[in-house]
Amino acid sequence: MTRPRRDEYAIALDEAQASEPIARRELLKLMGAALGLAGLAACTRAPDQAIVPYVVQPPEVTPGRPRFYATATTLDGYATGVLVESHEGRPTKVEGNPEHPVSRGASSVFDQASVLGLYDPSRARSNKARGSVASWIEVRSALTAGPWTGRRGRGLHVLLAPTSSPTTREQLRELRARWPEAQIHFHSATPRTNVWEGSRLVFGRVLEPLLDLTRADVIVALDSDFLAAGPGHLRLAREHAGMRTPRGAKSEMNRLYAFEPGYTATGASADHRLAVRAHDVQAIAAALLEAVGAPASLGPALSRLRERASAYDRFVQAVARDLTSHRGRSVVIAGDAQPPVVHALAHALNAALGNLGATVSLVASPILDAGGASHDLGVLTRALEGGTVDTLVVLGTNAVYTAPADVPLRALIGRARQSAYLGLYEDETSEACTFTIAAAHELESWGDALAEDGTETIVQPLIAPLFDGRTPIDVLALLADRPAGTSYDLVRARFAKERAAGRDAASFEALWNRALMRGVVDGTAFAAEAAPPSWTRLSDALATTRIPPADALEIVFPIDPRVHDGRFSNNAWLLELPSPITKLTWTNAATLAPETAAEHGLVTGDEIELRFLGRAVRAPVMVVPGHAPRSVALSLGWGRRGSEELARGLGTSAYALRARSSLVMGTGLEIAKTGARHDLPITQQHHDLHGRDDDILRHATRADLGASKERWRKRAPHAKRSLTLYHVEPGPAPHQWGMGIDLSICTGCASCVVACQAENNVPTVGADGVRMGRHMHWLRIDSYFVGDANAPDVALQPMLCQHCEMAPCEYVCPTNATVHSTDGLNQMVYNRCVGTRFCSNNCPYKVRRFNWFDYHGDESKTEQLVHNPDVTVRALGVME
Amino acid sequence: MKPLFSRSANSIYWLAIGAVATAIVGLPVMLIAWARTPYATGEQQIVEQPIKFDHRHHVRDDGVDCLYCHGGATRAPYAGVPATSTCMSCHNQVWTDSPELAAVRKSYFEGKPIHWRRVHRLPDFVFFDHSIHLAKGVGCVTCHGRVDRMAQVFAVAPLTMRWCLDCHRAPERHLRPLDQITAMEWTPDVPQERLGRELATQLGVRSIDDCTACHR
Repeated sequence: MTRPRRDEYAIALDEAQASEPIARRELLKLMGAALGLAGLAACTRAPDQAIVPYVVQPPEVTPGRPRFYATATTLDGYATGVLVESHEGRPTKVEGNPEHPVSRGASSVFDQASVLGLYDPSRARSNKARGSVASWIEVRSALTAGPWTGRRGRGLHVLLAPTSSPTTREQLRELRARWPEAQIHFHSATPRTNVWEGSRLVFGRVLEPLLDLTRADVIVALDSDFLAAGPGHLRLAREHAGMRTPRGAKSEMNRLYAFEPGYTATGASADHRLAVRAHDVQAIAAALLEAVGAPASLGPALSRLRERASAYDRFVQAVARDLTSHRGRSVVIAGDAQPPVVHALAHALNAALGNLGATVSLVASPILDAGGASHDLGVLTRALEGGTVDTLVVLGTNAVYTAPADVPLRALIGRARQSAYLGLYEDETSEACTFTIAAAHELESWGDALAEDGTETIVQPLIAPLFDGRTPIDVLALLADRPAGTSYDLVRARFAKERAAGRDAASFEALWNRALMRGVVDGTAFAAEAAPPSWTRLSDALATTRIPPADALEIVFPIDPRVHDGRFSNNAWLLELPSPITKLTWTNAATLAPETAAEHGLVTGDEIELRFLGRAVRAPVMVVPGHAPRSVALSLGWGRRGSEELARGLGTSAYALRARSSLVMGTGLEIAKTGARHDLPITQQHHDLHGRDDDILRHATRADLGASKERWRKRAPHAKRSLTLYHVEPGPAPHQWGMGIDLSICTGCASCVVACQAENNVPTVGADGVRMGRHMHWLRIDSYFVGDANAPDVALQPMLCQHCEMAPCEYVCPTNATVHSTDGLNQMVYNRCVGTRFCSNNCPYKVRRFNWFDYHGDESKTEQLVHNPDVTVRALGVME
Repeated sequence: MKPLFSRSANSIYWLAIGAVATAIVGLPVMLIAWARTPYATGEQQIVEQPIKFDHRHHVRDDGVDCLYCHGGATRAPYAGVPATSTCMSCHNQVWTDSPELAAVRKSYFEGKPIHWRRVHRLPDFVFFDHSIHLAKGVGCVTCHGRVDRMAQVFAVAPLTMRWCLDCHRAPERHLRPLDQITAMEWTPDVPQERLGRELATQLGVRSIDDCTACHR
């Protein structure tokens, strides 16, 4: 695709936008001149173009026909199988892999946005030594030399992001064999330690619960956003949806109860939601366990713990009754943020209800060394403090940024003689390290990874590394003194080691190719482990569990639904993605309940100072109905200080408040209004249906579904008005299109929003653009708060072009740029559009968007690679 | 008193108004007309290629089918220009030391692609798909002319929207049996009107003149 021509008009307007305000007269002069020049410029012949064929065309490639390759994306080590669309070697779009047990054909917002991350011009483009460009050979020889080579590896420390890669497992084994004294550490901003420790309390070892929602009629989520976050959320959302689609007269829908502090996608999907402080969830879990029948040995500890839940007794008892009447067909899910005891109580609940083995099975963790001491940053910190670290190699985890505030990792790294950071960006960690090694993006790498159920996927590259990046596998091979081999060789060798035995070369080749083609390695899913629960450790833990003060303000640090832990914070698609409920873009905010806000005299946009454990940050406030009272949430991943062009300076870093003792939540927060105001970039300004709830938001019970159609007709929306714009009443058109969106299934995860952006080359407009209402999403998800103002329901409404039979936009277009096709679609012809914006004014759904500026004009060659070649890249002044 | 305006002022005034009026009407008309001239559309103009590839020789003398080199036409939007390896599949046997082919050999052995110059160019907002046209019975010669008689390829059609629509509104005038798609000298045995209508029914050819057929 050719780069859109930037004519003089666009430059004039760009200048008007960029520089100080130009006087009106000056602008008119410029525009006049530009228009004249543009007119003249039109009088040239079409520019010469070259056709550049392959030298040797790969037999599988037909230029113009995209191909799909199966690979996997990983988040915190857990894999999701995806298919990536490739146009002549250029990945442009990610889809879920239907054959992958966790993806089931779906993909998350992060998967969808990963192609934009691949072509990000802010990525680290070269290796650096002390801030200046260095060759790989230079970095390599520095890293592999040092006193530790003569001391069996003592002084070599490797810090990795949690990983499930079997090749890395193999490499770490080799590394330990070669350098027995070397130390391996893992660090994640959001470790699953709580899950692992919770299982250790009950089963004595590290196991992860694998849920089967296809058999669960009642689901209780204890501060768990299982529908939109976590390793298996795509599968769980699919299974949940299946249980909410009644087929036939007899089938029932499942029921979902959610207890959570802030509104999440799961809370929005829940049939019954209770806003509770994150610290009170353990009391709820205890009360539930007591109500359904706890093991006798836990009794006294439970009644101490459950006290705090007495305010919610009616709700809890109702949930408990529902659970007990669905023994073996229910499931209790504890969220990753909750402490180990809550996970243990959830195991106890599932055990008491007979769900273990039915809806919950226990499997080994795919994460390497899960639950081990290596996942504790403290070991590395102590080594750094003690000065025993000679060479520290950080692989793909931005530890300096995500470390708790009471771990001064930036300063500590300086105590090592030398340090290296393999990262996609030159971020906070690379600033602290001696060497920066440009990392290869996941779509550029060979590797492998396991899904939550153990299913293995070979990660294959879609494109050669754009900036000569390297993978963790490459660096580990270097450290382990492996003879030179590419990461492809290592992955294949590992695969061969496990599977080549007893096969001839041809049949192994077929096996390898099949694994690459399908994106799953057959028969690698974990078998369920038989683990009898024991209650002694749990009762000890419960006895010593601290009950946090009831009236203290709590702070929660949730994972951000857009930038995760901050690793995606330079991705414009994700930055401009409206937060699921609040519709906030380009920043984070401290969210709190209306009553908490009223107590402190706060309204949305007020800046507050959050003081916690002696540290303080400032953040704007966002008041969210349905938030738990006396609870403030500040999501992770913002306030970046690295060299990422977009991310730098956006929002407030919650890491600056986190301490080792309060990684996900804490009490004793103090907030104070600073008096400053923030104009938050929000895409939806009001969330109220203005009393028209029953008219617009029509709902019915399961029983109504079987009832006669008459019943539905009676509930038809408002009576027809006599006033009409049409000369002729819209009658049945020859073709009428409808697209059904099941609102009882939609979780508002917004993957579709990013997918639409990727597929249709939809630009982003920036925070200022959003403030002016110029965001360009063709597909958006509106959220409305309905019902009781203190405990409202959230209604989600995906909104997109309705392809109206008598489309109001078409009637007002003066140039016939938007017309109806013979097969009944509302079509938009960009090359006819002159940008009057009449159509947008007349669109009742407000789904038409206007290109106020030439948003694609300044893109570098690398950035242009992300565009879908089958869709026009719109220019300035065109309606979309 | 001397008159403020000279005697000729009226004439100059009327001439000026006339000139402005003519320009207002004439300039756009001229621009519109200009855009349709063969000079502007590039029709009938020979485009010098880096290698003197002669279609006359390859198609007529050697009988190479269009799809041997432009195979993408049946499967993809682009007919495609053959990879250097396709050239070399014959030219590693014949004319192996011809100086005319030096550039081809250089490309093949150095692994650097040949930069051909584009002859048929559509604006970026037009999405043309070869495969559907071939599947519905539009022959190569219909749009590309007698390539077998061209020493160097030039466009025989203006590729303007009107030219596209002429066929899209009455496709039966240009249809041919699917086994004659690449034939250069085929003529219908029966009147084209009748054959076209039969083929349209048989191949499910519809007259599509929706904007989004080509613009999206």
